Amino acid sequence: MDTEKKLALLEETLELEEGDLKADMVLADIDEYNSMAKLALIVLMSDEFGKKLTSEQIKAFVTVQDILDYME
Amino acid sequence: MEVEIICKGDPLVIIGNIPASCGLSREKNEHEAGLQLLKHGMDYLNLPLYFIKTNCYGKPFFDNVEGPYFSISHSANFVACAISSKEIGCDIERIKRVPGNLEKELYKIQHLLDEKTTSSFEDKIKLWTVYEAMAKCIGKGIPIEQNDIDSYDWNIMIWRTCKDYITCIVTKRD
Repeated sequence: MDTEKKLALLEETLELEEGDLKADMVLADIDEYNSMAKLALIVLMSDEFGKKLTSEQIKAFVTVQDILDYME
Repeated sequence: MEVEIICKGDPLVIIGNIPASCGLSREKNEHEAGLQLLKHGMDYLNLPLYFIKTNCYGKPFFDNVEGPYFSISHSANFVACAISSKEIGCDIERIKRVPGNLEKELYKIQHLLDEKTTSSFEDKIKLWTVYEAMAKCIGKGIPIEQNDIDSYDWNIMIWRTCKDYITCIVTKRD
């Protein structure tokens, strides 16, 4: 999956508009990146990528790029 | 900070607006507002603000005392704080669309609500706030294990607050 598709999937999961996310954005600065978004991310990783994302791994994500890197 | 008490007694539930950041990051500003509201609540109860620690999942608690227990939550411009003699979880959330992929996860707790959840944004957010408050009360982070949900009898209180926000607190029944 290319970066554009991953970003689109992430935007859809976080209920954001197309083009809202950029890879270098810091997650702490994104208002919509709250606990609801984090649970949606856990479900996304499980359903779409077959990965079990833990709370510790989520805490380690600093930028959008960190999440994109995990979406392999 | 403007503060409103929405439940007096045990639990004490209070809501405040988050002041302008004054150069602090969003996270830091929310954290400071939460602490300020907790101090307000403890003052109201004539209790000192005990030293705060966090467990390995990040749940904060008062160190070296067997209660009171507290829980703090933020959403957009508001912060909520609940203080109780029992383990407690609190969540405040502005009414908005809940991500579609959370349906299955939130279904885990549907049976605990008196009313059937409709497809309205408000009902979905209510369900979310119960889930989040329960996760905080359990103290092991998200997602919640079905086993942890089924291990206790839950007391759930929900309010519509600050015009378009839902606030929920959950405690474990004796």
